[in-house]
Amino acid sequence: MSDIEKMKTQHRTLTEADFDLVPLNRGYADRILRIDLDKNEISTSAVTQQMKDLWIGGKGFDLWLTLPEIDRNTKWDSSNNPICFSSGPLGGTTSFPGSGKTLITTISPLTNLIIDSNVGGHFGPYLKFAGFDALTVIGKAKEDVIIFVDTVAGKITVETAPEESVDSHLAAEEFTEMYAENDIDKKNIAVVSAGRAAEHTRMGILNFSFWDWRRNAARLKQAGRGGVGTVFRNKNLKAIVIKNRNFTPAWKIEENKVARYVTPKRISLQDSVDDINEIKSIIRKWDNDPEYVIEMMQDIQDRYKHISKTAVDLLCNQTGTPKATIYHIATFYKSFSLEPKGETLIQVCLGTACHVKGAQNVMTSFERSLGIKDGGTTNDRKYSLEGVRCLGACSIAPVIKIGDEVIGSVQAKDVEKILDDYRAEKREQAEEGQVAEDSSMSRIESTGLEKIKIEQEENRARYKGALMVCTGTGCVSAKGFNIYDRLKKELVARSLENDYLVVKTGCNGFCAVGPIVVMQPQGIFYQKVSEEDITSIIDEHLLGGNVVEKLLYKDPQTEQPYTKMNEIEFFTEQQLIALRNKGLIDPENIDHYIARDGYRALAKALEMNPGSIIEEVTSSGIRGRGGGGFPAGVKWQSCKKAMEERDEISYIVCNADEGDPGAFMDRSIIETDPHSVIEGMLIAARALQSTEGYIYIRKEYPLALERLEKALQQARSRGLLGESILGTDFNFDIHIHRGAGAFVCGESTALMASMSGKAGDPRAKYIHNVEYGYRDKPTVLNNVETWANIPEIILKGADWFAEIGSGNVKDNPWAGSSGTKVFSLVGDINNTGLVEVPMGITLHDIVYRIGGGIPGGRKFKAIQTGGPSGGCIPEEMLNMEVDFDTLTEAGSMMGSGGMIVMDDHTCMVDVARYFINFLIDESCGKCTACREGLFALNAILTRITRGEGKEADLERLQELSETVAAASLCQLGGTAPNPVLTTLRYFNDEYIKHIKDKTCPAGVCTELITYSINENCTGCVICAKNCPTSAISGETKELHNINQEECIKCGICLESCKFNAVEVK
Amino acid sequence: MIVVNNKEKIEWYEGMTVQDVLDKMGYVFPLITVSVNKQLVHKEDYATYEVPDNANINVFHLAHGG
Amino acid sequence: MAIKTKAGPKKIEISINGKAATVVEGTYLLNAVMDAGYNVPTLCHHKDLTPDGTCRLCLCEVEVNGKKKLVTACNYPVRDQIKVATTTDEIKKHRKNLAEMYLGRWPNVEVIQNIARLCGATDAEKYKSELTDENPKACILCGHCVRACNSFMIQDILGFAGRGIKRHLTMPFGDVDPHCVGCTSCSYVCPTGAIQITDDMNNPVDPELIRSHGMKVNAEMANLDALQNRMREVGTANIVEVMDAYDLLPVHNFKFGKHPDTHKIDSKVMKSKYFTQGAADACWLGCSMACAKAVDDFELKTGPYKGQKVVVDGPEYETAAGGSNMGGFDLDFIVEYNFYCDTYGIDTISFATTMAFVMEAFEAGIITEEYTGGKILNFGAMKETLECLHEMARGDGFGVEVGQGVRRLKEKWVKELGADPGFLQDIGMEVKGLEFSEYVSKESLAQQAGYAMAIKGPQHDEAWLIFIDMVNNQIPSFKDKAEALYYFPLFRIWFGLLGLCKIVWNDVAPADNSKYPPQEAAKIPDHVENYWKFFEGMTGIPVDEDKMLLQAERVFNLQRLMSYYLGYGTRKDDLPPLRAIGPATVEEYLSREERYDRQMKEDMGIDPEARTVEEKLSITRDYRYQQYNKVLDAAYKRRGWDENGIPTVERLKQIGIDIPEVMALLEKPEQ
Repeated sequence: MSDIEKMKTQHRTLTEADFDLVPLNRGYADRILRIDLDKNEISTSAVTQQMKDLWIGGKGFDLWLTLPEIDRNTKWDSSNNPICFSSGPLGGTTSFPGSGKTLITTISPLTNLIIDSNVGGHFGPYLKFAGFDALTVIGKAKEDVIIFVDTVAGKITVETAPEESVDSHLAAEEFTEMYAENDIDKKNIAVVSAGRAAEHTRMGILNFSFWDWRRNAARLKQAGRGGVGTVFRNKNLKAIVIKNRNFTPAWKIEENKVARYVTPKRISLQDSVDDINEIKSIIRKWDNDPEYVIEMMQDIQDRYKHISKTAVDLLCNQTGTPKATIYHIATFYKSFSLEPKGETLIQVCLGTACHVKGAQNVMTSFERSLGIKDGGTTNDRKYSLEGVRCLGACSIAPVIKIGDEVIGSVQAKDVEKILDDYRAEKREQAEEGQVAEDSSMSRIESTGLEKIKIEQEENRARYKGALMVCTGTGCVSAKGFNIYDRLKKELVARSLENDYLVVKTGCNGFCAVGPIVVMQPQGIFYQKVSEEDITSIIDEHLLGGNVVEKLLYKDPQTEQPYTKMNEIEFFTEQQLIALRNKGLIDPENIDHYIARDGYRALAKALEMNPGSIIEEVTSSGIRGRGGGGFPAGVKWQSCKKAMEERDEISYIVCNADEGDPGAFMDRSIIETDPHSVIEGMLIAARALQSTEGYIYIRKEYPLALERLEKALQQARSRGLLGESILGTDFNFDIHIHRGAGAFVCGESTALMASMSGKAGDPRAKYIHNVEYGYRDKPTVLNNVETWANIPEIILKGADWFAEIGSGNVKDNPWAGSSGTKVFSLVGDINNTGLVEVPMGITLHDIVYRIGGGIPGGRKFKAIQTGGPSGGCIPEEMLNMEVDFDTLTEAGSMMGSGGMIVMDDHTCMVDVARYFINFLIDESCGKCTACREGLFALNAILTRITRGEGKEADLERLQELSETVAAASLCQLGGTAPNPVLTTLRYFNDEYIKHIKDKTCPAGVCTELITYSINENCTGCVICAKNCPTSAISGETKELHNINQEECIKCGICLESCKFNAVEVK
Repeated sequence: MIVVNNKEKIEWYEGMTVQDVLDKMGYVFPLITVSVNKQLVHKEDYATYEVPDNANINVFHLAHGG
Repeated sequence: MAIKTKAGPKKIEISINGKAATVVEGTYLLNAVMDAGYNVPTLCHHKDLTPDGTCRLCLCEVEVNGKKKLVTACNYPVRDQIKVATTTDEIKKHRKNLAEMYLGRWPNVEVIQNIARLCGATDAEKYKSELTDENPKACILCGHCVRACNSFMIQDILGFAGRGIKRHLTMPFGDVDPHCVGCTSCSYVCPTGAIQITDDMNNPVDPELIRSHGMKVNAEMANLDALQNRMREVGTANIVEVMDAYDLLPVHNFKFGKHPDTHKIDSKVMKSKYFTQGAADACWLGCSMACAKAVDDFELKTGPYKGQKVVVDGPEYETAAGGSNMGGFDLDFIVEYNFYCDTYGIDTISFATTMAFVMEAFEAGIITEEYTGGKILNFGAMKETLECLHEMARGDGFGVEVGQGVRRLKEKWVKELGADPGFLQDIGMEVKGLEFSEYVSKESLAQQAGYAMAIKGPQHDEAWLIFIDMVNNQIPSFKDKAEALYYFPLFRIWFGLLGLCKIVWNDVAPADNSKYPPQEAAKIPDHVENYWKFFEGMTGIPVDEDKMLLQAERVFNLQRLMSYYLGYGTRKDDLPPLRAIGPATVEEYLSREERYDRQMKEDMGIDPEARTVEEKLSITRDYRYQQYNKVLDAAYKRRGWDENGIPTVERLKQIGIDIPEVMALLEKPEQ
């Protein structure tokens, strides 16, 4: 039994009376309640018309009711001194503010005449809702009593109450807890109480409570003047408690047509005490902080595979966040579902690179194998299937994620095997413990940086060489960690562990040929290394002194092998600033970063004055790498100005919500070199006197998240984050927010809404974030790559940076694009991966020199840059020099730097429809232009890909695109039509063919194509075996045939045929 | 010399603005209305509206107090 | 968010469709355009709500520094010298496309049909789809309701669900959220009728009439409060620094009206370090003023709950000013004494005023350390003050004596310690036995009367006339003062008959309140009208100023008569202590010597030169009491009371309460 229940058992009812609920009429209940504590008598009387005419209510009623009770000799402590409570005819109104006062009168112990006091809180209105315009209490109880008016039961009682607290902050909570049915019902309880000192003084007050559900506390308002509380205690009243009927909001909303797509069909409740306690403890883990409600929901989703109605209620009550906000979040972010998902989540990446590489077929295949649709869950709740916008592993497209494992280069026919392997793996899975974090790190002063560097160099010199194993996401999906573990094991087995160092590095960039092992300092480059190859590396190379030929990279065209990394064209054309440490350090070891001059820029910045840091960044000309290309220095300067004008603090935020499908440079930078980002933010914080920074990172990047968390922790224990950084008075710390699956949250204002624990609705940017950003404070937001550049700019100087790249930015950052840019090169290209090149390099060089051209000798068709907001650039523009402004002129944009190469198997109408379709799902839906416009565009494009297009549609597409672009609220909508506009501009003939000829020249649009088998068929039956609908007939060694009725155009036959016998027309 | 609220007299100087008068008088309550020689002055003009010598200035404060 | 700069607003010259216009910096373009007489179509704009820019129909072309761009006028703040075009061919085209999309989705909603006509969109079939909703009352996602819930009420009970094309307005899981306060704002602002109110608790005659006036105030609160008294940010404590600036903040038992340390307890500190911001702090449902501030997670440093983290309600102005009155210029102290007063059940005002009196007596040597149980009670003795409070709760020690109030301490000290009764009378800040609330009334004759004549004792809720009288100099004659002492107490009492809060009446004012002449403006006529309509909407009985005053006057006189019946409530009970009407000590006189000398010369015609301070003090005292009595006479007369302050039978007849129960109160007691 709880303490509260025990207290209640001590109550003894002295008297009780039932009462009827009367409907209120014109603000009056027309009834008065009188309680005599001497006689234990409860009575009611009617309100007369004269009372209403002359005295109105409130204090007027109180005085009138006092009149018959007193005589000339009544003193404050006389038994016949009444204490009266009344609301008033307008009291309890909710549609006019300030209508909740209670008026109290009694003879005052200070003045011996009538005192009147008015007070807020819920008592007065609830008294009236119970059917009483006023309450008079007369007489004195012999011991501590309470009066309880229970509107629900229609009963009034006077009870002894010996145990409850007298002090009001406790009494209010105790009585509220005692009489409320549940947490929500607490708002129906109002308590009037005094306090211990009211008993001993003449200036006692009455506290009127109201339940504050957001604070989860009883709040008190005071009837302060004249000693009303003294009289109350003198009557031995401990409390008057009233319980209101549930106050039901009296309104309804018209039903909405789209609600059915969102509202859960089965509402899930979690009744078990264990579940409730666990959910509460998850919420508490985040300090009940409403800004972290999205984080809490991610943990709840991970644990329970859905957000139940119970969880929504608990989140609401524990954090004070309105239910509607939680519901909006739950239905806005893709990570959340209101109905239970399966134990294992299978995500099929439908990002651009994956799309052009046939991800849709992979999805169809999963759908068939699991017997569920995209978004569905198997009946046994084992699997859920979901298409995701981009898993950021575009270089090994098409990609899927099953559980925590990322698998690349998946073909539709592999699906069964993947599921079988996963089931088998799950059975024998044994988790290995991670190495404990070294927490005994010492704090360093700036001079200590040099010491660490020397130590690291000395340490490195003790080894004959270092084997750098790539553990970026691309290589990890190709078992990179296994290579690392095996290498260590084999070295130990041969007692070579003191001769050769093995280092887990972040992404090397050349994802196409992973897993990668690089022998340093010689720079010998081994590609596509398997576990079995490790013995060769050790035996032939380390022990034998010969390079392992079979693991060397060979030029795809010439077949010429290359031994050293710096001889391969993929690397030679690059210039590394943001990726300066790639493949050279262990991202999980801060000392490796320091050894490469890490945090020296911070040390330098700490000696510069804040203004000159900003000047340095401005004159470097660096423009934001997140897409817009806004000069970073100008942004910082505006932030500083806003801070000064308003005398405000500022926040530093890193946008790591890399959303563009086809782009993964931010993920790679964090996985490779997290400290470069942290250091960049520290420098900005120093320049802007900020003490708090945030990194908003996609939850879909677990490895990056893990490394970031480790890096922050190491930086803290090294004294590089937190208080007194590097022994100075500079304080700054960084916190992480995990994005929950919403592309639009890459937009700065949506990102900040999301960081505040809300759905990611953007707002107009006429007022910039640098003025009113996170928590309405001046905020600098830059993306990962921009931050990674900052330390180098400070260390090597603005001039050094400004000279790299295009244009002359020294005096005007808009006059060109300085520095380098990291691009993710994916799609139909040989050397997929991550490259960093100086601004101004031609597209041609990127595609043919670095990228190694199109595989299978196919024809280049277009290069798509800038993600869904970008456009498709045709072959005739390949000589274009790439920078922010040229791309924009071409109708595309830099975006975050995704480059998807498309060969002649790509249908440009389908590409346009693909992007629009992607964005319909990702638009926040706030503004009409984007929400309705994209929906309308999609309808037209879909019509065209089905061969139902009309010529007038082209004009309508153009016009609608222009309206969406011009009228959208944020840049998501503003740039959304770019793929449509650029394909209309550069590939108009393809549209015409779809509309007029009803054909899809690239063989993509399923409604317009047929699969057939030609004379090349050898009758190997592989296609027939693989066909999911058994549409292929034919005996062994005989020409096969496709039954068009049954063919679903999934393309598996085409994939599996080795004889070029399957044709698409 | 200028007169504030028909009572307080303060020294006038060249270029004196309404805001200067308010500062001088310590009038910081946000709910005020100002008129100079019966001419209403808007809040956004306080800093620029110059007060002529011998002006009669009324700074009217709204009531307050619960 | 309201754009705020240290420098204050400035004006900007812009051109709209070629015509010059001047606007205040930060004005939203739509307002500027409409003020200039142009009509721009919009669906999501609402005059009382923060613009959200969702319908996109109000697109206008703006040229800044030679660069043209399209912006939504509703949420574009004018900050540069821009050239604006409200209709170009391009804009027309976009508006038509948008209107067609709207029409395709909600063809039967009247506001959409109107917009479509305005934008030249006629083809409802063009964008017809499976999502087309034929309901004429369909929600069109304008977000009015969501914004009203947020900005009128700070509640966020209503919200959207879903993303992209699936966005829709709903209640979570289709349930009604029981946290809704029932303010009905959502329905009021809904342009299509998609939200309907189905019940009203009080069963008023005309709920629409009440709502339409209540919402006016909600809108003011949402849009003007941040620029006016900031009740939502700091509650009543917003005026701590204001009172200091006007020499009205009680310091050291009302000796002074300001103090150099006020900045340590002012609203800026409270806002940035103590109060939780942006919270729905209403003490009753549907109150948009939300002034019930709280300090969350306050760790107590003394007393039985030491070390616990608690929610502290307030501090309100009077509590903070009680701090300065006791010389406690430390918010940690103020919050702590606030908390303990509340939970122990002690009035912060009576406590602070009594403690301040005790401190002055201690410094004057009337009581000593021995007497106080070892506590050195100079001004600013915060620890000791809290100890007195804990003693009150325990029921032992000197604190219990303090808890008897100023009047009883005076009596006791005269009797037991032989203290000078005259001095104690002059500095003991009570009338009728009730301690003064925390405003310095020395320089406002009307406020002196407002305090001392208050029927229950000197509490400002009956009359607060300081600004009108002292600062505005708006009621210079005795007649004017008497009139104010008639109207304002009655008007304020009226709230107490209805169950209403007064601060909603006067702590926010309509933007155009200054259109009324000052005398009228002080009443905030639009707000008074709101209340008449509120009353009428509830009861069906129309009221006007006369009726309202009559309603209040009846109760006012009843209360006065009840005081009389109980043996008080005559002229002798309406006399304030000297400190309430003027300087009571040499120290005080000297602190404002220039002012008092000047008054002596100008108002009394007496040359202060060559007189001792004691003489001047005495002259001032006599003069001020004489003035006070004149006000009293005038006010009694205006109220229809005799010169002894007793309501006359004629007056009772006039106001219709000459009923036996009331008349009996006038009878002389039998000896």
